[in-house]
Amino acid sequence: MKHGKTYQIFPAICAAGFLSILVIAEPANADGLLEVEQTVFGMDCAPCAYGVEKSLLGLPGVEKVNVSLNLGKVSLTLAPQNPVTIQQIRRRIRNNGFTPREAHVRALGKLVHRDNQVELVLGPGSVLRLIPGTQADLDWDEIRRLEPGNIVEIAGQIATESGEPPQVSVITLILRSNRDASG
Amino acid sequence: MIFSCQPSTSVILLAALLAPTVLSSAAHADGHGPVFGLATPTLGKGQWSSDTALMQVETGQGSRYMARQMLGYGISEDLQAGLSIPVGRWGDEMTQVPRTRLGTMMGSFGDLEASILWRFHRTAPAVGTRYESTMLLGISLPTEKRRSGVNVGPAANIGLVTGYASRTWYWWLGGGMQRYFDDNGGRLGDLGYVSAVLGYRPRLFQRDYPNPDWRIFLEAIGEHARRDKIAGRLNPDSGGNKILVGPSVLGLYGKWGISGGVLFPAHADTNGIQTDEKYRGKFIVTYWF
Repeated sequence: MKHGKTYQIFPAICAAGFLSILVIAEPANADGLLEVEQTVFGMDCAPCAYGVEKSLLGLPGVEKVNVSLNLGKVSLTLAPQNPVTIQQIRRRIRNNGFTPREAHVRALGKLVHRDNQVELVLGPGSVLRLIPGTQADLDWDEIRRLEPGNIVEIAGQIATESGEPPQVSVITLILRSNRDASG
Repeated sequence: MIFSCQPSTSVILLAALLAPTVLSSAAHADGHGPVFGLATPTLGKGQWSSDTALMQVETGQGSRYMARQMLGYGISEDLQAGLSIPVGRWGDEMTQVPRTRLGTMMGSFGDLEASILWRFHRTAPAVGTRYESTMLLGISLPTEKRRSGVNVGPAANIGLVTGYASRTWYWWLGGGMQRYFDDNGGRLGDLGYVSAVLGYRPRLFQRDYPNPDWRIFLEAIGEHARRDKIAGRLNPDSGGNKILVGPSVLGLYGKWGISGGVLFPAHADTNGIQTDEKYRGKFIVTYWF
């Protein structure tokens, strides 16, 4: 099934949960959104899907788009170090006349602390604010103690009204490297 | 049989009688909707579409055909511009055809039409589901001075349609009015119209994108034409009421769409001596750029 692989990723991650932060000592080489599964309301027909697919493929850094009309999902595969933001994705969906709802994302970026908040910098002008996911079993105090500049990979959900910067309810967090060299 | 892109008496008459709605071209151009009735969808922002349409009307005097090329452009997700261009007509000569049109969403082959669609209401309560309402505004310019002895001026058109779309069911209800302006004492009668459409996508064709997407419609059109005016006097052999009903089908695959349908008169109450209409048919090929 063409769409099957992408759709199964997030439920699998959600089901797993994490009791603590995983630390994986491998160098990070690709900041940015890695995968996005965006729920869309209102798409009913093939031209709807075609328009959304074509529009999103026009974003630099989007390698592949799968649209499921029956599930109301748009899944994006993104190139390493892409500049794509969730706001851009949702704007393009709105421009096609449809309603973006919640999104599941997987992203890699640099951890920062700002205004007593934990944020993930994906690239220039691209930031996600991290908040504890209700279904996750993360030690948030431990996350807060992580040094700024650490490279982490997160998976989580961005609500329909996600704020600015978009808030991600984090389900998993993986420490990819300890303290960025420039951090 | 004749083929011509030049106005002939019967072609002009048919053009006048089929005088449609400026609005329709754009709403139709996105190919989401029915063949004859009004529908709500508009193109996405920056999206172009092309519709090539072949239409037929069969009356007691024979068959007439016309072809139109339509272009649509999405100014925004809720605002669409359209242009409908007559490209040819052929068939039997007709001297008397009841005033009607082939579809509420398509222009007369005698008129060059420009239109704007404004989807002023839209809500998407669930996956694959939308309620929406659209206003259609248009103007048309005739390509000839007279049709069946009646001076033809520019026309204005306004329509309203509301509807529901889902992965299984569709419906639209709408209506509008086309008004021709006076031209040296002559004027084609105003044309009021309503349309009702029920659509269904069988389970077989609910397979996911990019599989082919087919749906069927039951369409009904009601038309009220007022009498034409010739040299300041009303023509007794013009105007009347009609209701037409029939099936249509729409098939979509990626950036291509084809649709076709036929309408049969269920009721006709025309003034004076006018030729009966037997059926009207339409076939459209759509492409999204």
